Amino acid sequence: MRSKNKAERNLEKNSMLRETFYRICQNKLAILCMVIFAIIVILVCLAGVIAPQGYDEQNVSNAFKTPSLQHIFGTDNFGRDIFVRVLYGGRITLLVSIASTMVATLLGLLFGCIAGYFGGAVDNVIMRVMDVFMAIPNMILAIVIATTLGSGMVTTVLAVAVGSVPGFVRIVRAPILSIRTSEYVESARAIGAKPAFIIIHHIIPNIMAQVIVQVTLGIANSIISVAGLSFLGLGVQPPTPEWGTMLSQARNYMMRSMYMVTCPGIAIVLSVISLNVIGDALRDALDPRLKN
Amino acid sequence: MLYYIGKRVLLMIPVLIAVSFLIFSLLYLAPGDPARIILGDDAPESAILEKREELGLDDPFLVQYFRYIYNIVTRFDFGISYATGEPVVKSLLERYPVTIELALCCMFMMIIMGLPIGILSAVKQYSLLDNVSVTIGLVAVSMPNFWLGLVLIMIFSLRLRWLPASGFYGIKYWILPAMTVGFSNAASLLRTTRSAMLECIRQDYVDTARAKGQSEIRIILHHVLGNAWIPILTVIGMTFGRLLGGAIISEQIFSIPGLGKLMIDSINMRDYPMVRGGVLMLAVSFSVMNLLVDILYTFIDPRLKTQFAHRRFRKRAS
Repeated sequence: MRSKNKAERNLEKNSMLRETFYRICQNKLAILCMVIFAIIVILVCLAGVIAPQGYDEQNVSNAFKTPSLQHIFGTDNFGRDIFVRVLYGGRITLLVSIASTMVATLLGLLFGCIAGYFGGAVDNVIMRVMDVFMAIPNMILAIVIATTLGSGMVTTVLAVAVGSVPGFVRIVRAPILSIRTSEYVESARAIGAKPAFIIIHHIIPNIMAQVIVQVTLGIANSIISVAGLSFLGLGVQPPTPEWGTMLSQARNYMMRSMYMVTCPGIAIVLSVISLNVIGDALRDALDPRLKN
Repeated sequence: MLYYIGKRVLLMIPVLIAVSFLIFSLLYLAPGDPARIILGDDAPESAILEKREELGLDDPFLVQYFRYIYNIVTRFDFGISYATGEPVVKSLLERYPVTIELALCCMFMMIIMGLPIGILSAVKQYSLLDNVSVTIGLVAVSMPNFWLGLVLIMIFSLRLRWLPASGFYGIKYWILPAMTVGFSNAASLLRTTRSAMLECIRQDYVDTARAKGQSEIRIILHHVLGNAWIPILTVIGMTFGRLLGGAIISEQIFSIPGLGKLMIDSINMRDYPMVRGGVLMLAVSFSVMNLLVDILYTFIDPRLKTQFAHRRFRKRAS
């Protein structure tokens, strides 16, 4: 291995990633939330290993049981284990939320970069279209899209994603407006780099910090939207367990069992809180100037 | 000033036209033949063809769209409901006040919970109150309101039997829905108020005011809050729009006969003219509300006002 000179070592010590990591480690709440979210993800991924019985194993004589060693969250109206259903439901909820955030991020990056980099008429057209999407409250837009496309997992992804695209476009476009006139972009253009190259190699790395923060917070919002849409019966359909669907079914049995309502809800709240805290911590760590 | 307001109002028109076009085309693509939905599945083919002719469904898409807009603009006619056969606008106007009432209740709840606590926790930063309210704020922002609604019903209606779980007939019925939706919005108002206040509280003019010997209350309310209004108002204004959207879920939980419940019921019955009308109405209210907030800014922030007052002058100078 070649020996590094002092300047190189200093540079490495001050690398953005390392500095960010160091700052996050000082935020105890963020660490706690990362651990919580990691546990949720691991539990959800390993649902099949942790819970040998299936999420749709019914046993009507065993319905509305309170928590016990055998069923740690109790059982629902069909005698299905609520804990197992929360685990499997988490798979769907988290998967759909993450997928929709990814779709929104990609579209947001694409349109945001184009609008910010080229400016002028292109920018105007893209931003006016975004204004139109912003003029409709997110939930209503999602409901209309879900109505048109019919319910199901893929349409839920799309319905939730479309509403969050304008937010991403704005987040991406704003910093590009100043980056576009910076010297390194100008010199890249001067040596004949194509717009696509400049966007990918010079602009996107510079806005990555904002994008990562927005993605984290975006997933948190998506979880609420996805569960909300399913709660209304327009998202993921029963009997597939999904946190929102489970809550919607629990509504009819609130007198009989409080666990049907509380358990999926707590799962949602825990995931959303931890993602929100992680997002805030990332924002503070990536750009300390923003910290108030 | 008038120039600015006029410009904003005019700019809103193309947005609304685009919104109506978007909603119309999305629901146009929705599955199901309207004629078959109205007449039922076992209607004879000839009757369905006749109905399609009557509804103008065989016309090109754009013709249908322009007819729809023309009818709304000239006669305020949103079409006929597939389910009841009555004009859509009648149901919409019947349900709309309920949704607005609910939104106002939530706004009231949000402001009385969020604003004072936000101010207090900024004034006493890092105190116990601040820490507790920031933590509760974080939890509340992360709580989906459909879950909070169910939990509140479970506690206050089913266990304690203090408040009714559904309907919308009087103050007693308003408390739970207003708390459900108001709570999470109060939390975001709290966070915004706190950070906006903190930004102003360390400014030099606050020290100056204190040096002049002004009372602490006047400093907080006049010098600090007076300058922190913009972000706070933005949140309040934007919340109204979110309330209209969020109303759909809370109206569903508490069976409140508002626009949101009407829409979900109509979606389930595939009564698309009703859905279209409801969505348009909510989107228009949302845009109008945002416009009002923008105009309000110019009244509370003199900096914006002078910017527009000198606009013509600046243009001439350049």
